[in-house]
Amino acid sequence: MFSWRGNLSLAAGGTIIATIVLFVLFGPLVSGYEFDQMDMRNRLQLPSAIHWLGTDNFGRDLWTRMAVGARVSMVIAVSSVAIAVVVGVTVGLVSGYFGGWVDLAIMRVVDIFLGIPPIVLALAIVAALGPGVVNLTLSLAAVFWTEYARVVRSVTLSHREADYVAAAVALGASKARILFIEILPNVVGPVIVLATLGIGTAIIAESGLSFLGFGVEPPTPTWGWTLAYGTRYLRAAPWLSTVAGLAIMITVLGFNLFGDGLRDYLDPRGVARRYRRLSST
Amino acid sequence: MTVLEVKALTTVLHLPFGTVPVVNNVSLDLHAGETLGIVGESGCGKSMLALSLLGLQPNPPAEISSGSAHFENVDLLDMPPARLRRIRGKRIGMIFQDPMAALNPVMKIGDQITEVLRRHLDMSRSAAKRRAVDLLELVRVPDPVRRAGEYPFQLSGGLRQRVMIAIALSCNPAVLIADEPTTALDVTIQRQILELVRDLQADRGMAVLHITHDLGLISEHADRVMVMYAGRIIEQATTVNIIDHPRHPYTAGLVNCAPALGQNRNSHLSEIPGIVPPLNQLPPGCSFEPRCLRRLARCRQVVPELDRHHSRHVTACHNPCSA
Repeated sequence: MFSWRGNLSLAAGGTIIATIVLFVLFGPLVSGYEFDQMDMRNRLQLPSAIHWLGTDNFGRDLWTRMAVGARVSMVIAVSSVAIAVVVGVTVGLVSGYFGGWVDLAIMRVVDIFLGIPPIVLALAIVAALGPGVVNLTLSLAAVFWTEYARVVRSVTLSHREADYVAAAVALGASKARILFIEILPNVVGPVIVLATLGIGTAIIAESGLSFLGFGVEPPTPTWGWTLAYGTRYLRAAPWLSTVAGLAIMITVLGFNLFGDGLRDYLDPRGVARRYRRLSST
Repeated sequence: MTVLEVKALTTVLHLPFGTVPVVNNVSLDLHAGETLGIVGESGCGKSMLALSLLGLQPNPPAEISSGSAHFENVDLLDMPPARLRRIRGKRIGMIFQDPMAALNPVMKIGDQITEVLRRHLDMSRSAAKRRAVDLLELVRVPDPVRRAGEYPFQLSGGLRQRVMIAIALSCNPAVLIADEPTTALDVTIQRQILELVRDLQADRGMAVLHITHDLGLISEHADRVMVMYAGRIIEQATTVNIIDHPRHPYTAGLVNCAPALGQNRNSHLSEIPGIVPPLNQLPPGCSFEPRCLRRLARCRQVVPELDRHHSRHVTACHNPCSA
């Protein structure tokens, strides 16, 4: 039986993520403002009963902008990490399992990607493709996939020589089966940890690129943009950057906790640990 | 009826210092329903022989250089990979030495059995599931329904080896290759596992190729025994003949090495002097010659052939012990 109490970090992380989802879905509705509704008489207002999180330099409601921005930031972060995971895991499995010149060729490509500073690589790709949500997502995925390829390759290398793989071959399993049914479940643990950390990195990278004008264009709000732009008004309205920064921090924390808990939950040995903990209390 | 006929199989290892034969000109035949024991020290090539039969030798560095292995009238060594995959696990099952490592740690026991059933027998998910539980019951795993939902680490070594046997037998193979199936288990579990294999074999008329270094163990369970030394077969006979009248000095040495329960603890336990020579430094004559107490002058120059005069008890020795 599954129990939330058995896995605190999964519960805490799940709660945080669920709260963000609710905020994204209902935040703009309950505030009563549009995200791009300007009000020049009420610029840089302190948080109050009228504007729950205050207003920005154009008098736009920050609560609404955070909720709408969460949608954009989340979509970019989650989908860029998802693309990077799919590409990186596949490449890593193939590279680690087949070895030889396949491995050599793939790893040199990875080295080339790793040799370019991440922000420069992302900038170059967005510059070539043009700004926008989709292109930003692709450029972030292009930066992130190498990490998964490396980690999955090294885990695959150790599992390739395991007896259970030899046993599976002796039982008539094909190479594709060995890779995706026997070895893949064994690399899930480290990939989940990396991916949850990666979502935080992606949110921050998105804010950096948006700030440089290569990401999402105003007036579409993103957390990164709010964080970066708020620094210009840090003395007059410190809540702008603070709210955006806290939102990013809490989100990253939520995903990290969730990923940590998920890894424990998916680890077969973790099941026994939970059982023991439950039966002893 | 012969189910597996191996002729002049040679597997070589490509090593930095040169190419050496690790299985050297081995021929054997395996009949339905019998157990053939292959005995030898570590590194004598017995495991490599088993792996070569199914094309599982680690390549590189190992490579089958010549020979044939006919199974159900087709040569296993000369077969497209896709076809060989349909024989592995279906017609020829295999059990490995270390049950701790031979099961996937992140897959449930039941799933590991159903996977093989679905692959080879095209069973539906639910039919395979029922069959998996039946198989676990067959290999005498208590509470098979619960065990099927557990992971390998939740099972003891003996139980895991039973699961391996269940997987190996799931498709009713004609031949079971058991590569030191009980080496990693303690003595009482050893006996249970071997008795289990024997009972299942009798039920199904399956042939078993049992590879071990334990002559005592094999003497109880094999019909015939082949003794390997440095990649070659040096003696082959019925189990009784091997134990009671070993003809090759090496076999005689192995038999004398085995301690007996109740033996005087102060009495000298005999041994075979020296070690197996490295494969790249094999003597030109008989491989066993440097360690042999009965060596003759020509043992140093001429490799002894298996003498075919006694069809039931063959030995490769220039100066065999008298029968």
